[in-house]
Amino acid sequence: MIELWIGLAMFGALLAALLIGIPVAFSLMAVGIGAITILGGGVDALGLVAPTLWSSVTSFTLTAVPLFILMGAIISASGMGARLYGALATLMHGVPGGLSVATTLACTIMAAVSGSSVATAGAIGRFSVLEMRRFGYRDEVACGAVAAGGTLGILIPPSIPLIVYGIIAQESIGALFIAGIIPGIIMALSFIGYQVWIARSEQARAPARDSERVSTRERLMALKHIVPVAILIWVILGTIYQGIATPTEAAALGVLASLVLSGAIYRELTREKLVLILRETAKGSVMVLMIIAGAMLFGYAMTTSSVAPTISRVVAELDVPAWAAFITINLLLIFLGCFMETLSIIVITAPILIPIIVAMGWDPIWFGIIMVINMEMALITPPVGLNLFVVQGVVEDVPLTRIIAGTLPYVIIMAAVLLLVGVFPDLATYLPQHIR
Amino acid sequence: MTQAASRPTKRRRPLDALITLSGLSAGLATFLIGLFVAYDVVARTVFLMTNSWVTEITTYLMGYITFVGAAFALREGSHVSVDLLVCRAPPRARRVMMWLADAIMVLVVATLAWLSFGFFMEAWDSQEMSDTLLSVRLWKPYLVFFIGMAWLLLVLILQIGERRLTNKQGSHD
Amino acid sequence: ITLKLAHQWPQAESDYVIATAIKFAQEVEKKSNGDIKIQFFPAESLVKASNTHTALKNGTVDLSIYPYIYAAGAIPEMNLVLMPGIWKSHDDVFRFRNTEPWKKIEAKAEAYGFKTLCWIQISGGVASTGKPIDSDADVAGEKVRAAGKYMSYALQQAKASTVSMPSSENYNAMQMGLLDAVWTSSSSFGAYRLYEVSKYYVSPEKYSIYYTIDPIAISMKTWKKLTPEQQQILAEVGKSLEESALEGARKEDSRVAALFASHGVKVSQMSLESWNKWHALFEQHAFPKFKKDNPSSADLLDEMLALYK
Ligand code: NA
Ligand code: NA
Repeated sequence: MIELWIGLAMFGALLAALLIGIPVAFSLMAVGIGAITILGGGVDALGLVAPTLWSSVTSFTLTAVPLFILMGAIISASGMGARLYGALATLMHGVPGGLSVATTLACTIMAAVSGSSVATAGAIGRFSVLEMRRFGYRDEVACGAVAAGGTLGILIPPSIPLIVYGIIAQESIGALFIAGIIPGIIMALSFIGYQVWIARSEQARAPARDSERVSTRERLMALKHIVPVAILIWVILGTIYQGIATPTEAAALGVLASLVLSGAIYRELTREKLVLILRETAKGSVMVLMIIAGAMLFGYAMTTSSVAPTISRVVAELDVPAWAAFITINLLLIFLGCFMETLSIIVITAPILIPIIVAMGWDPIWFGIIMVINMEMALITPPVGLNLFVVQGVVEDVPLTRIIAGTLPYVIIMAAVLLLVGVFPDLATYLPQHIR
Repeated sequence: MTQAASRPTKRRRPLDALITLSGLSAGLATFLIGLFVAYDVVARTVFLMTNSWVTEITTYLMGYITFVGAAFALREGSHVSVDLLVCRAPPRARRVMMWLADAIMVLVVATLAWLSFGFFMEAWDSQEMSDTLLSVRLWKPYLVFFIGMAWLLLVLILQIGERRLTNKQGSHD
Repeated sequence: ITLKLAHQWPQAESDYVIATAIKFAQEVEKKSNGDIKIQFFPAESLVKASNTHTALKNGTVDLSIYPYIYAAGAIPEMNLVLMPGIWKSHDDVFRFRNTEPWKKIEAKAEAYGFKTLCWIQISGGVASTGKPIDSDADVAGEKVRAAGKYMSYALQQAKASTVSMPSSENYNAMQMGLLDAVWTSSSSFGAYRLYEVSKYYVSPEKYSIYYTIDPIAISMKTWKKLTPEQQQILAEVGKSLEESALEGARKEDSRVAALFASHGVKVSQMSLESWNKWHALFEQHAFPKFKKDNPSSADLLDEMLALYK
């Protein structure tokens, strides 16, 4: 089993490269190139490195990733998130914890047009955190609602992590998207349940806003701010499930529609904002695509040296009970989620985990959802949680520890939903099997 | 979470503008993908038209975004890294780590530039074409790969050099 | 020595292509007294199918099973192994193995960097949702996924619109109505369960417009490193498995047709008349297009056509 030792050495080298501060994409490439050279007996073995890197990113299906990033940047520049949040806050008036419930709802709706959690948290968070604090919500409650709500962005379709997972697992992205809907709604409802509960049990700190009155007319007027988002949701998800477009094509239609909405209807697209959109799109896309390229190269090194097939075979032969395997895999993912950025985790672990999943007789679509729920947790667990940093960027006076205190209950809720979907796979697989 | 972006100094202004331009062009490439693909869907749905070029051209644009945009992302510090340890290490250990990280980065990117050049040369020599109705000579898109990696190498070396210079000046003050 | 064999499918012995390769590996190991071992790298884990020819050329992969059409960008003559309207049945394809035009194509492949050890062929029919696709008259206005660029081109001339997507999206696309008809191999129909979302299936058991080859190939770099005895073992074992691979292909076609039927799909066979109609379409559009794209191989296409007059 020399392969297992080689594999261990490769992961050790990867860890070392990451810890001395080499960016994830280049750490993966460094270890990949190093391993191929050493194990292949010289630089001649590097013949497939360039073709592997090139073909890993020049995939038509993958174009959905930069397109969703672009769309996120356009939406963020359009101010659509603040309008949506304002409308929902008006509608939720009178509900205990109304502003945090509105945050979850706004995130849920925004998640149906946005492919990333950071974009979702960014679009809703900036405005909603300030509102909640203005009306006397505790910092923990306000920050927790935004950081956790944002994570819905990757579970509710569209979802960049699910696209990347689908490409690695060679599963239908359309099916993965639809599989996320029920778990996503369960997740959102659990958040809301918790928020109502916490508001009731903390009535002494009841938000001042409840003393104001909101008329039915105001509530009806608020609805009109939801219309543009509803149109966008139809353009992105409706076209996929009515057989007009593939998920990739739907992303392009979404870009066009959000451009029209923010340019022609909101009139928010100034020249400066356009430049900003281009910059954000380039930064986000390159970051993701380089990680994918790096991971594919690392995966190629693991395969050509027989490390990956050996690991998968050894694990499959261990003959552990399904529940133990499920728990082990999830603990591993949660552990990695504490320290690493989510997409890196998916691209590094999926190529090894998927053959194991298939060998266990599990549904790869279901496992995609399991993976993404884990990634939602990763986004808000310390020390490295992207959504924690997004929220801190908005409220710089709140220490990170208080933000973390606010998000921890959500980690527990997510773990509960994870377990639920783990025990009842139908929650994920029912819709993909029964659409039309 | 991310590497700190180094501030440009005066004498680097023109080069800096070029880096920004290469980044904006990668953003623009994404826009083009969106327009092409959306046009393809509309053409197919409304006019029953097929555009054989859309799928292929957009994948080349993906190559452009990734490899030509890499230098811009480096300057902006948007290649994610795990800086847990680096941030907490004592100054001396930190210097060693950064030195090591820089050396490995240069080595990797130089290797990528060399390999992508070989990739391009092979397609140039064989005049291999894409296996599609468009039949593009593959050296053309592959050249973009090489240019991107060479550009990344240049920007990386300048960035490291500049940071060392600033650090040295800092320690003299 | 251990040789690396890369392919793009799951390592399922139920698939005759994989079964042939596994048999190949076993026989080679046995005949060489354990001297030559073959290690499998399934599911594109080592190299993308579209890069296989490059990997064979530079020797990073020793052996592979891959559809030769992927090498057509480097070896334009390879377009002919997926040219619709030349071969009408499995017999036509199998006969091609021992003809002059194939020897010419094979010489090009060897000059490029790989050699054929075992001839494996695949075929496919067409599954559809709106109506059965029997001849070219049925495709106008339909959204289809074709097999290969010259079929795509001809179908576009017949007023179909072709949609591009990875095979993994076919199921959803048919279910949602984004695709009306799909040409793919019998194995892919089975693997992606397209029988669940189709209404009609025209089976390739008698005649079809979709045949291609998916042989076991060896890198010339690897080949040259082997001793004459080792070369002989590989070549002989490969050759000895060709008949059973052909049988496997026929059985797969029948198995998949039965699978469609058992899911309530209306299954029909293509008639010679329909095939001739298709042939006329390809004669009008696909053949001239190929000749225009590859003037130096125009004669080779004519030679091939002459074989099947
Ligand atoms: Na989403
Ligand atoms: Na985390």
